Amino acid sequence: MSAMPSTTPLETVDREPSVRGVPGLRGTGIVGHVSAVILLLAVVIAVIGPLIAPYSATEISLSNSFVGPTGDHYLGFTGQGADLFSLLLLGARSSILGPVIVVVAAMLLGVVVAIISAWRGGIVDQVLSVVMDVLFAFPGILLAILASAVFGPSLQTAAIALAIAYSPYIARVLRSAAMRERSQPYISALEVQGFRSWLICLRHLIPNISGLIVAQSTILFGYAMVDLAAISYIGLGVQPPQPDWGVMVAQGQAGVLQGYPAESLSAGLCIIIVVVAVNLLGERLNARSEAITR
Amino acid sequence: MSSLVEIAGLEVDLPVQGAMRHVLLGTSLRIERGESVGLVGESGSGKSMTARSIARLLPDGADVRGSILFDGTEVTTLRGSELRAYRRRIAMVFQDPRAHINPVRSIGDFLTEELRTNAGVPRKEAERRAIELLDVVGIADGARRLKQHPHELSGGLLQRVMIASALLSEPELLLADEPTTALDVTTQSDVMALLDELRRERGLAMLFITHDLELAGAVCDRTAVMYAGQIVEEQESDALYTDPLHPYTAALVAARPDIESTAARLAAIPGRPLSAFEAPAGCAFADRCPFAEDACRAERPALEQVDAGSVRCLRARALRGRLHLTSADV
Repeated sequence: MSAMPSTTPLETVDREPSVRGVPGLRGTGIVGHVSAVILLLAVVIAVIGPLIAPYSATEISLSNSFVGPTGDHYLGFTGQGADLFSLLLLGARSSILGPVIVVVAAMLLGVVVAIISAWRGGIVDQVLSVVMDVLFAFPGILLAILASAVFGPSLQTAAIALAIAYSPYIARVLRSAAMRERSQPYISALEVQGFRSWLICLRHLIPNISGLIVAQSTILFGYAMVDLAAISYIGLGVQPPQPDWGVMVAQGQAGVLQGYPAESLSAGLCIIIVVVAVNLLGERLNARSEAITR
Repeated sequence: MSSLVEIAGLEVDLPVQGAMRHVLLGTSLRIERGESVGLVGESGSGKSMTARSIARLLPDGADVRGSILFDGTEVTTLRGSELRAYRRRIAMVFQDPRAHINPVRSIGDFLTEELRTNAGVPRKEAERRAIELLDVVGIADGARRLKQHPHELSGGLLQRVMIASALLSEPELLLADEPTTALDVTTQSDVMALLDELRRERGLAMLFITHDLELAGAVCDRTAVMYAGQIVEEQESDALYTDPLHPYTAALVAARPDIESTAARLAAIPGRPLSAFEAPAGCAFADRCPFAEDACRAERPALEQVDAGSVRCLRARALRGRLHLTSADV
């Protein structure tokens, strides 16, 4: 064997930088980008809605009931005589904040359960899987109704209940991804280096399945928004007069019967636009993370 | 002082499709401080499983019996923080560096993570040491390499990075599991020479796993030969060629390709290699051995001391000196 050649010319392989685990929009196509822009707009409105809304939700005058669009009131008035356009802007906050709470809470729960299941395996995994299967049996809305009966109706109660009901869906998908990642040799290599398990999970395992986490979050957001709107519609979520799209659909019902469907329809349309955008984006992100994993 | 590593009667069973299968059948091996020991054998003979047992990397559900002492401490039962502390004293270089480095983190993250997390070295200092070591392993522009990702480096480069990472933590024992098998021949000899030199400089003990008898002979003080989950022979690397104790070793030596030989065909050992779970009650090699007697098939021979080495063969003493076979004999 020859002596060590210390300065051998060593080549570099040039390849496209990996997109794995990058929660950007690369590879989601035009649909993904348009959806992202719509969502961004929705979030901006949710944040600054109260600042740009020309009228407040409580500025009510019954004499304006169902009055159509005028110069200052772009969309006219609701049945109670509030400015419809302002109400839509103000309602964005709770309508979007609710699903965000659901997604964040369900993700935290789901990721923790999935990682513990995948990492420990064996009996721990089996017990957690059974608990998740039991939770599967409860429809989200049923659990939310139950929770508002016990803790009193509010957005937070409904959101937390939904998060618990949704976490098994997340946990199941992420568990299989985490197991695949867990069996990767680089994880064993890290274990031999003497790292703590939770550090390996936090720094390596979770970032490497983050693409899937983001994709699942967006899909969940859509479901959560529709469910929360439904819960508000039946009066167990956001409480009027706090503005909310779900509440507006409910309160506009009377108008629909009287031939003034603007309030219900406009609020419903807002929900549909955001949900469709978020679903399209989620689908694209999901397809992308699957393509990369393969 | 006790040996650095002392494996005694290590038996490992792994669950395969619900049933437990033997993988190691009573492996015994000793590694002194600063010594390099080769572990040679065919695929499935249990070389890697031995190394994985030492690193405590066996799959879930593995059944381990026997003992592995590291610096006097029993390794097979370590848990939690003691296991982590032990693992920091060993380092492993794997066969396929690409699979064993997180593909989405930079080389710098990979090299400095252990120093920063386990030893509390500040990032700047850790990076300085990493660049220093990259230079030692023959990677000149370390500062640039730290920013690159694994997919930007070739296999040979990545294996050097892996070696640098193994050395950074200043371990006492290096487990090298076929570190050059995935590399092409020229890179192979570079990486091997590097590993050997760095190990000697640092007085590091090494368990070197390979299926290349000659490679083991070149870099290892002693070499152990594995067959069907057992160590069948173990002695000084040089003596392995000139004075093999076990018929299997002798047959392996005879089957080596020789650059000066004009024979049209390479010598081969008749029959096929056995896995540990197929091993019969007697000597596992008996059916392929030209010297086998009835007694060989009756009981499994124990590992016996013969001069400076040890061998697992009933007829070792009788066959002494007659085993240096030529290919014609096999």
